[in-house]
Amino acid sequence: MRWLFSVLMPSGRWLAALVCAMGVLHILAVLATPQLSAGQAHRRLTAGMALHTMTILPPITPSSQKLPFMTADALYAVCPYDTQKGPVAITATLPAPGWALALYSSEGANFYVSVAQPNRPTTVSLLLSATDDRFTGLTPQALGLSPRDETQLKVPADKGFVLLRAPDQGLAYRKQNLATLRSARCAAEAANPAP
Amino acid sequence: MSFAFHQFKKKLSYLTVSSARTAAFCGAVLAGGLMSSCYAVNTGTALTTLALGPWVTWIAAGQPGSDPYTRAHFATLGALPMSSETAQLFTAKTDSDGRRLHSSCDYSIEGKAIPSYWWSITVFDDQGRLIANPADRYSFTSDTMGIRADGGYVVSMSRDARPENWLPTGGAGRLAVTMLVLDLGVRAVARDDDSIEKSLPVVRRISCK
Repeated sequence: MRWLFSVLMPSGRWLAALVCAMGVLHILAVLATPQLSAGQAHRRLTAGMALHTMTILPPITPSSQKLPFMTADALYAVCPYDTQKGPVAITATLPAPGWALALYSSEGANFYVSVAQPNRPTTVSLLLSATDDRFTGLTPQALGLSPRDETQLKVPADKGFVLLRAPDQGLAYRKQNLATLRSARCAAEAANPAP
Repeated sequence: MSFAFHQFKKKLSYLTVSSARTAAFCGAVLAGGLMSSCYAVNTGTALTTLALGPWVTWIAAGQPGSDPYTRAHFATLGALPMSSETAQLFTAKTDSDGRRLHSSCDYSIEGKAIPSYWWSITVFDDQGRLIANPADRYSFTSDTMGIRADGGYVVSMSRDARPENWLPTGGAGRLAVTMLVLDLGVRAVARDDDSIEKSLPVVRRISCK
């Protein structure tokens, strides 16, 4: 062992170089990881789903669980969107605490969340548009139409998905929650609607 | 002849030492760099995670501007968490005494309900898969949990049926329990006893088979 130590002779310079090289490899590995597996969760969740259509997922069970640590405490509806093809309108009602509407980019960043408040239903009405849609005449205002009663959200990612979650409030509420999930709307707006 | 042999021996010895040094350097760099990044990405550090007893949460989970470690963690995991600004997901892989959760043991999760949040408790195996069970029961929420008169609750986590709030663990092996807390934004004044940190439940091991 002593022989090995004397052969390797870890001088100060050697150790400093070692620490630097370890640091560089550490940083490269951390930065490369999201690039290597970017969008995998998004693809797995939205596989086979139609664009701009709210799809209600079956109740989360061991056989229907699409993602790890996807909690079985809610029913989910998912709508994949692509704002490159024009603005996308999202309308949903969040009737009780535990309901939430979340917007994700395809990389999995959750850039918008709306959570239901107690004692009053929350209605969410969003128009998702790419940052440059204003200049290409795709938003109602750009087309000379009056702005509608909805929040315009310039999404930081062209592609992604909307996740609407209805909390598990027990079997008695399931039918009602499913009906509310079905009433949620996710649709592409016509790029050039008739004035 | 002996001089040439001596020179050759010297050269060989130099080559051996320098290649041993290079190999040791590369090995140490690979081991240290990759192991430290694996640890920082999978387990997290004090900079990226918040540990409260057995419960661990990633501080910037789901946020668009999250740090590279948090992004790498969730990319590796393949999970899509909601932004931690609104929803915090706490995960416990050990009991409150630091022992690994395992389906061969019975546990009780004891906490106090807080009306300012919507919350749920779900049990998974340590890979994040739900555990199949005949009762089709995987989680309790603040709506479905049986709350006692004093505002507290107890969840029994075991293979065999238990009274009150029972979460079956089957033969899953190592377990992970998550607590999802949704901030409803209704706390006008943040009361000390109303904070998430103080309302996280205790995970107690009851017995092992």
